Amino acid sequence: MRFITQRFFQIWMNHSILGLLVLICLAMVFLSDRFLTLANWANILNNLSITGIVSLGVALVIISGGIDLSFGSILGCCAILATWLQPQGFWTAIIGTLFLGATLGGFNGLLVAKIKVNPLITTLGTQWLFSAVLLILTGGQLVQGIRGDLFHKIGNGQLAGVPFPIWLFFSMAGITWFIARYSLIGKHLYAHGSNAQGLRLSGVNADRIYLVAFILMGLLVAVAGILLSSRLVGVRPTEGQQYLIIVLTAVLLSGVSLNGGVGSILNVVIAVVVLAVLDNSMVLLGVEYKYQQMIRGLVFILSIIYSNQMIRQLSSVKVTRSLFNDSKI
Amino acid sequence: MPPLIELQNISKYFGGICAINNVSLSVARGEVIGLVGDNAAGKSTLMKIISGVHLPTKGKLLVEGHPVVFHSPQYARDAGIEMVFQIQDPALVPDLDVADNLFLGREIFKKLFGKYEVKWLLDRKTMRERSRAFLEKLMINVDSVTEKTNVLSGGQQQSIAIARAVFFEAKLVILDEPTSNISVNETHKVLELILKLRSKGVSVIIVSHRMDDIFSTADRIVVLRRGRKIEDVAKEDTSVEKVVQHIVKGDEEH
Repeated sequence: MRFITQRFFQIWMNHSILGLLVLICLAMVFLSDRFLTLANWANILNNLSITGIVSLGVALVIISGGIDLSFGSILGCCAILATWLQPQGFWTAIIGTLFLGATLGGFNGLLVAKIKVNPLITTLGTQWLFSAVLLILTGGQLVQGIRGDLFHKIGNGQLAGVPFPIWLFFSMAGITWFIARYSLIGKHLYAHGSNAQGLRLSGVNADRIYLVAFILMGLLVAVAGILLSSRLVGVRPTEGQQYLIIVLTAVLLSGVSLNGGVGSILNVVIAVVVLAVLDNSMVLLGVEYKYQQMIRGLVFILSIIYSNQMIRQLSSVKVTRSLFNDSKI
Repeated sequence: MPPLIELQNISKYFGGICAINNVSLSVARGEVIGLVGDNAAGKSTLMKIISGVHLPTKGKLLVEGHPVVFHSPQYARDAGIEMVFQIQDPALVPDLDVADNLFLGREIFKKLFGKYEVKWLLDRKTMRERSRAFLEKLMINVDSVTEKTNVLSGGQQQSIAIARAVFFEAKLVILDEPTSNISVNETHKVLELILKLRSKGVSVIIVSHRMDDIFSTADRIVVLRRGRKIEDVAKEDTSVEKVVQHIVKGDEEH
């Protein structure tokens, strides 16, 4: 019996976010007849692609035991560089932007992993630094560029009838999921978040793993920046900042622990969809903007209470387990 | 045949403070040594010198008769010396499962077409199978090797940490308070595991405050006091009372 309740609890723990998604969708099917249309879902998924790709990267950093608050500024830098490089040719823009993302992420990573500055403080600082450099370089002006056909397609084109950003998001999610689950780096990222000292004593270069987490995040943010640049006619230097709260909400809602070592990429994807569906529902139901903000805030607080409750229950399971297992090693 | 590990006149100073004063010690193959002493007697410093965390200020370290210098724990590990730290300072990674922990830092990779090893793609299936077989051989019971180690009991965690040390053919395992914080029943199992290691020819240095643990496993008992070795006798030639007396009062002649 204990085994069954435990299994049930584990399954519930791992899939509660999916349950939440199903609940919201079920409610919306009854409340709005426009909700379950193909056009609406294409719209939802199209809108979440940038948030989603950034969330994947941020999740990797938090799983590895760090945190990054500068991804908004990195996103802005990448979007503007992509816009600037775009007249030089499609591939120049893509490769240049990816390089910038990896460099800025790596800069955070070096400070955090090699010089051992607290990641919260480091990235709070680099957030100001990156956005200030951006303001200086752009003069605070809107950055506009004439888009080549191919570049325009990234954000606005379709493939097999599905908007290209959706393809991009799900392929990024697939790659990230694969890395987290099946690769050596993925295993060591989780290990670093869980017990960095233990990883070091096992002879693994733990600092390098930490650095890799930040570089991977930079790369993913760069992909999102390319998408952003392709979608917008003009990029404001402060464009990336608005993603800060929504991305952190999605990552924490998915059950990624701020202590590191715990989290599932699949759940991050679902959490991003939950937030997008919630936003979409409020628009469909004609909720006023001020109330929308209120509901977002409430969802954020409730999700934190909920996840705290889960952690408490999980630790009580641990205690009972160790009591029962005492008789055998 | 030279002893597995030999320490010759080792001293260690931290600034002006002498933590280890002219200690010599040798460990034979398959020998279990109980290292005891009061707080600040130099036990952990001595262990850290053997496992490569600290370099000695003076003296020589020989492995199988060859002088060695351990610049980092990795050097010691390459020479076949593994250290298992206390539970408070866990050697295991709590959020990884048992098999992932056993193979941490020494993963097995998938082979393409059974030939080309992909150096970043984990072969979890093989690692799980080998973990299962190995734990069975040492008679360590866990529900499943895919269970995260943070749901295991203290004794199970300690056993797996020890198993991890010998998994890759360690010649000497250093155990720092292996039975602190675990129940009586589990202590018994951990001590059995130590004896099993000895029968496989692995040497063990066990540091403990519990005389029962020392006397039920060790072949030889070494007492440290204020950085000096004041006693080094076979278990048969001494008693709990004598050892405790040495720990508390020391040897007046020194």
